[in-house]
Amino acid sequence: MFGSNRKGVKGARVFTFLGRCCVGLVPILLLSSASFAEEKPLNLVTFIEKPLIDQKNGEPAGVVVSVIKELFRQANITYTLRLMPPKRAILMTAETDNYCVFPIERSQEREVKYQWVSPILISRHGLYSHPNKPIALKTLEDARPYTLGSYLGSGMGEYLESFGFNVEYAGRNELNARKLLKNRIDLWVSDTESAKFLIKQERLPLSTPELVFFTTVRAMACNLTVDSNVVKKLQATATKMYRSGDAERIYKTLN
Amino acid sequence: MKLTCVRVFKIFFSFLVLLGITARIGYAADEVTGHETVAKKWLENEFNVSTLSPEEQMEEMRWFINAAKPFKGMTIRVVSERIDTHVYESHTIARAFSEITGIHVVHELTGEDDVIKKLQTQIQTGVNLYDAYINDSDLIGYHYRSDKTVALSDYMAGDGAAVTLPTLDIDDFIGISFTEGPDGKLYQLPDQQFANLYWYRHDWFSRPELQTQFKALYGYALGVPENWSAYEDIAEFFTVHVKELDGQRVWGHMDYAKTDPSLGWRMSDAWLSMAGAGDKGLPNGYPVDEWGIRVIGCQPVGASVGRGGALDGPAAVYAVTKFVEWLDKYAPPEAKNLNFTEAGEWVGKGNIAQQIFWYTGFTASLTDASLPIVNEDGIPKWRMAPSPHGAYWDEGMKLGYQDAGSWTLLKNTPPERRDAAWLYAQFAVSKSISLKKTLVGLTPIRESDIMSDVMTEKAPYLGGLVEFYRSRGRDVWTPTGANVPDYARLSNYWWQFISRAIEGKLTVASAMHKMAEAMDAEMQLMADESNLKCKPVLNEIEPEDVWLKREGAPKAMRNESPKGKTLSYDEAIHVWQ
Repeated sequence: MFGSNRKGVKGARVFTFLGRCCVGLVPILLLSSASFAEEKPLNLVTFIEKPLIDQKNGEPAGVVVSVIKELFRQANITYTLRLMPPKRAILMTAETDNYCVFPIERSQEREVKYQWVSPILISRHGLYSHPNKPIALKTLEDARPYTLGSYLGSGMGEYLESFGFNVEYAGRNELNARKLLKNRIDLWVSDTESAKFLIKQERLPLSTPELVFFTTVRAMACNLTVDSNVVKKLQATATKMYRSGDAERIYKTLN
Repeated sequence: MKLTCVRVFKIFFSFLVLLGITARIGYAADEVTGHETVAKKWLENEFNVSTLSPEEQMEEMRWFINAAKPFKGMTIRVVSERIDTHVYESHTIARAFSEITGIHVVHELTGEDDVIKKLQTQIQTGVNLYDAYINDSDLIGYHYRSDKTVALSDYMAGDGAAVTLPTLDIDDFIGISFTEGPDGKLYQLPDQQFANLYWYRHDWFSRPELQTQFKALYGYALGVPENWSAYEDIAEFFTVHVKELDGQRVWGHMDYAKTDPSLGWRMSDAWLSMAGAGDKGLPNGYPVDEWGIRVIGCQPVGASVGRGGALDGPAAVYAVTKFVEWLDKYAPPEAKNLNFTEAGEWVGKGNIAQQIFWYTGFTASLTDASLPIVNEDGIPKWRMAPSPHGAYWDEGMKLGYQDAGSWTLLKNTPPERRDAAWLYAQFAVSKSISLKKTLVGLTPIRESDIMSDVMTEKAPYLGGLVEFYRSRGRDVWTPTGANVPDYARLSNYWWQFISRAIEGKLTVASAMHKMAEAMDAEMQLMADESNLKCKPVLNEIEPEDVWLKREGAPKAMRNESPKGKTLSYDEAIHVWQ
């Protein structure tokens, strides 16, 4: 068995962006009503990633949230759910008892820091170019001379940086689309579902990705103090939901 | 003849059809010629070393061009870990294949643990994440049991016959025994291989003053250690007695121990096999393998000594105790906080005298002429040699690990996509490509490549890699085998429990005992939940003494400090001739 190591994100730049983007987002708390078990509710945190995760009537919404709600309903486990910026959600979960965050990439580097329920979401990630400056990409290597725009906490930026790509970070995914159109980056790195939604919703003059270069399996990561039996129960339920088609039925409502 | 309107129309229509067919044939012919021109360019400019003649290479390219026609325009996705060989595939071979065949390939690179998680996800959810995986053959026990993986031997003779390269030459693959199940079927096709071998500073070991000093202290020659006692003596010699060479602090041992999945690989790959925990037998010990898992027939019956396994037996405890002790006493203090990749680059700094277990996958990065461990003429100051064995090792046992990253097709991939991916897989290992790939990544898979004149010329610059792969040693350093029923489910236990011993939260004996119990419990769950072929049926627990008195593994306590034995480099590399 052999493997790899990804370099960390450049700390100072990350936290500068984090500071800027946290100001505008007030965490929203939702207490589940579907609580049958007696244990202390699990504190779930997630982040806006339209159209997969959004905010509706002040509460987290979207297909990924629906999958999580169904997962906890079937597992009969109580929870609270709130929104916060992605980087903060990940850090809070790593450092706080009884917290879980979703949907984050499950990687070798993160493996030991959390307990995992996987998969929650399978994403494909693409590179988008400016309409007036198309960049033909046959392989990821072709993107090496360019400045790539990712967002804090996405995992994709770290992945690309570990290969020596020049990555700039924004606070949220949609900001990169605007940076691309203002020629502040050469290629926008985004998961294809989010990009499709943003292009349509904001009527951006962008087309299909130049290259869909990576697939991620995203998961719910839980703090190491969370009862391992609860995690095991959630994992078993998640697997059952995929096998039964329940997860697919919910994800199909997206299109 | 009177031409009616209908007849005129028919003649005109026939003319159009004929014109269309001719144009189509012409276009198709042009297209094929175009692909051949592209192929020729790639053969001349990139794949210009091969055991095939240029004409034979071109024949292979023509076969790929024709076989790929039904899939032209398709985009396929494959995934592998990120080592030099796969980087070359992802950047160069995928591009060549796309241009030559018209099938676009996205070859993703990620950590090996991530590859396994993705494969597991595709199997669990039925979602076709990838059309093919380059997955270590360590999972062979799962592939043949699960019925989720395409048996390539069946596929090549059946549904995949039309897309199987006539010149693939399966017998030329040196690691094919690693990718066959106990049922004799081939489940995976090796794409790259590397071994874990002993690594040492040949230049330091050759210094007369150090030889004299070592002999005076330990009573035998400074050389390639044949057993762990000698390794330990040499570690102590450099760390404690020599301390400084050419003005810099030097260390007699290097390892890594950060809590990380790669810590587990250190153990599950080879540490226990080097110590001698398992039984005799190749490629893996039988009935007890190097994970300490006993089988009856093909069914795992336990990992703990109480059930006939060896995971918490004296040999396993000895192995991990030495791991922790050497790390504490002889390695640089930073070692405990390094993972596999970080530690791999450390020996390049030039302050490490030896490493018991070093992956030859790092060869390319340690032959860079700018490093302090390489001479000006490009010949390394270091050598690789067979690993020393521990006190429980006996003749006839495996002596280390070999990674065989292998093409793996899953049954739930749509057939058309699977066929197109299989073409790319074969392209990447074809004789037209493989020798160049071997020179780039130094992870040979073919007998024809390793025996080639090109590799003979290259040998002096590779520190012993060619010599090893030309020896019988390549059959004695083997991957995880078929006793392990589900690698993905069991492998996490290694880093989880070994890390507790390293951190001092548990004694080594207690950590190994708890890990053996956890593995037994997981295998029981597999038996209860799954439809695996040859699924586990755990033995009833018997007193440990009863098992330890029986022949083979688990082995009773031995003298763990026999006298150290060393060999000269020439003797060491000829042990496995």
